[in-house]
Parts: sequence; C-alpha cells; structure tokens
Amino acid sequence: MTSLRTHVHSAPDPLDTIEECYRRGWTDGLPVVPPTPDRVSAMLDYVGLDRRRVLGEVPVRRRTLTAEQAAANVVMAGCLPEYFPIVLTTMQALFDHDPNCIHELSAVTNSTGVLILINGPIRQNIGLNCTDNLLSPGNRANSTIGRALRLILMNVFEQRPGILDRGCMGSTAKYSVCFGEDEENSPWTPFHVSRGFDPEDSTVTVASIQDPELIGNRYGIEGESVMDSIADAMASHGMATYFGRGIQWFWIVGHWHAESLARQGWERPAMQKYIQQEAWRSRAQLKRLGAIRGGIVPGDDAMRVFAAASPEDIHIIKAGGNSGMYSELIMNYYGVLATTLKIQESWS
Amino acid sequence: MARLDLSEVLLVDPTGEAPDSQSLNLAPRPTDLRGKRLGLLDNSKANSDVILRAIADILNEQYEFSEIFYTQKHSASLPPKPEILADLHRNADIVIAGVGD
Repeated sequence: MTSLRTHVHSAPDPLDTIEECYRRGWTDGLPVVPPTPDRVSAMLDYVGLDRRRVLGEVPVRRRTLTAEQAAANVVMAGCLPEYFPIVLTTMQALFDHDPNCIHELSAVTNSTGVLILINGPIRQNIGLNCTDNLLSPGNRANSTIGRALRLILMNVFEQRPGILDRGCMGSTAKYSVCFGEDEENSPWTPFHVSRGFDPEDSTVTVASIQDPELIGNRYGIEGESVMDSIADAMASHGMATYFGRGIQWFWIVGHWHAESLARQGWERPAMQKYIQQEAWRSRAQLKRLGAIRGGIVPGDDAMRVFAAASPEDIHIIKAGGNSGMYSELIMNYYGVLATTLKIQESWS
Repeated sequence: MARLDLSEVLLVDPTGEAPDSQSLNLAPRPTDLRGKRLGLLDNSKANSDVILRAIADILNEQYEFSEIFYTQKHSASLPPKPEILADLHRNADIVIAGVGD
C-alpha cells in the first residue's frame, strides 16, 4: 500500500482533507472523496489491476494513464468499485478509437462532452437510471461515472479550463452524461443488440457530444410529426458548420414518443431513413449563412446538404420518463464517433 | 506500511506526470531565410490556406524562397499524420503552421 504515489496531509478532519484536495487543484469545483490509499486499493482490487499498469497513452501530449491514477480519480468522483469497469472500458474505447482523440476532446473550442451510454444487465446491478429524469442530478451511478471520466481528463491529461481545455462556452455536459437505455420498456431491439452484441452483454457506447437538446413535441399524433421535430432540430443553422463532416446523432426517444411510433409500426431502420431524408438545408441557405464558402450559383437552391450522411449515422435509443411527450437530441461531434465496447469486468 | 501520526492522512496523487522536457529538442534555427524552402502547414480550417498563402507571398518578396511547399492536416484538432510530417521534413527548411476560421 505504501508503494502508491501519496502525499501526506496533516489534518485528521475529513472536511479539511476535502479542502486539501481543493488546494491541490484536484477537483472539478465540487467536493471530492479524498483518495486515501485504502479506498484506491479497494478500487484496484475490485478489477484486479496492478497499480502500475499503463492503460494507455496520449501521444501528442506524451502523457500516460496508470491504473493508480484512474482509481484515485474514480474514488474522488464518488464511484463505487462496481462502477470502475465502466470507467475503464470508457477509457479503453477512447484509446482504441485514437489515443490523440483524448487531447482533441479539449483542444476543440466547441466544448464537447463525452456520452457514456450503457446497455445490458449491468444497468440493474449498479442501479443506473434509465427512465425519469435520467439526465438530471440525483442518481449516484449516473452522476459519478461521467464525473470520474472528467476528473481523469482534468487531473491526468491536464484538460483544465483555460489551460488545455480550450472550450469557448463550456458545457454542462462536461459534468456527466451517463445513462442507460430503458430496454425493459422499449418496443425495439436494445441498442447494443442492434450493433451486434448479445442481449446479455453489458456494453458502453462512448461518443464526443454537444449539449443535449430537449425536443418538446407534445402535439404530434402521427409518427411523422415527432420525427419531423427531430429532423428540424438536426438541421439547425447553429450546427450547420458540421454538416458534411461525418457527424452522427443520438435520438433518445422518450417513453410516449416511442409508444406512439411503435403503435404505428415504426421500426428503427425505417425511422433512421425517414429522419435522414428530412434533415437537410439547401446549399443556397448554407451559403447565405456563410457555413459554405462561395457565392450562390444556379442549382444551389435545389441541392440538399444532409445533417446526417446516412441513416446509420442516426442512433436511436429508448430512454427517459413517462410524465410527458419528450425526446432528447444529441449531436455526436466527429471527434469520437459512437464506439461500443463490451464492459470488461476483470482487468487482471 | 509506515506508521502515521493520527493528525496525518495519506492521499494518493491523482494527477498525471508531466512529460520529460529533456527529451524534446528544437531543430537548429536558420540564421538566414533567403533562398530557403518554405513549408506551409494548413490546419484545415476555413481560410487557413488564404492567410498562409498571403503570408508566404509577403515573405517571399523579401526572402525569395527557392520553393514554397504547401500541405494540410486532416483535422484542425489532431496532430499531423506521420506522412505529412515526413513530407514537410523532406520538402522544407522552415515551416509556418497556421490557423484560419
């Protein structure tokens, strides 16, 4: 235990120990659980990781992530040991995609967060919220898993606002966007199964995202009305600069939207195709905005620029509460496109 | 485990280790720009090419470069791919990296 890289803090008062974490610049602004050796060791023991194990490197910053550093940040975030495999698999997805993308998450000025979407039995095991208020504070697993990732990015990779985090407006999505699909109440195949995994697999889907946007269509009777609302939000002028760059989209279909669509016979592939075809702006409109350079030429009015290049770039997940007719739309910025991995429980 | 005073608590350091600054060396600085091969590295943002070529034109009047070699990164927020760096190394004595928007 003494081989852990530790600092001696002279104060037995727990509150002062938290203050010491602030003084050392280790927090995201909220109080953290002090990363004492026993807590960090318990975290490492749970997954069978040697503290010295290098989990990955970000070449452009020449910084590595060790198991000890990961565990210390996961402790500070307030995670239970059962959450640690999810955080580790999330980091694995980022390292697998392109280790430099971890730098890119903070280098871009458009303030990307990281979506952590969980499927499979692990959702129940850790009490993950998949329904009412799933994007709100209030549930330990949802709040602390995403927070752990952010603390790793800040403390290990120096992605602090004003230093290596160059976000212009910042984003509340940087605190935590972690939730599960409401598979039990979904009319459709679970998202991870649609991506080739078994229903009994537990998976994490990771993506770099912009702020989630509420779609408040409480009036649509036909499924097309709901999907037209999604398509219209996707084709927003505020996002036009990203069209044509391979971005993807997550449509988190709320309970009553899903019920209505399923009752009318809508399946995932047909919905993906419909929305992809409806989410566009004309090339002339984008030139007037300045999102595309150059003067308007004949044919630009009829030329469609699609918000999603193909139907498969629209990911459809059923989640959220049943208190009203809502959905959420999340743009997947092209830095880390949706990557799904099976959650690895043992890392020894 | 070392015996701790009751007024002390150990905290595991959650921070990353800074890279070793000794392992990076700057290339020798040119003493004169005249007649050198100029490289331009566009970061791929809109108008980056415009501003880099404008700068190259102005400098070229003064230094009469033997060659101006232009290349582009695949992403503004990622480092250049190794083949782009190799191209620059092969074709340029000095490089201007620029950002547009």
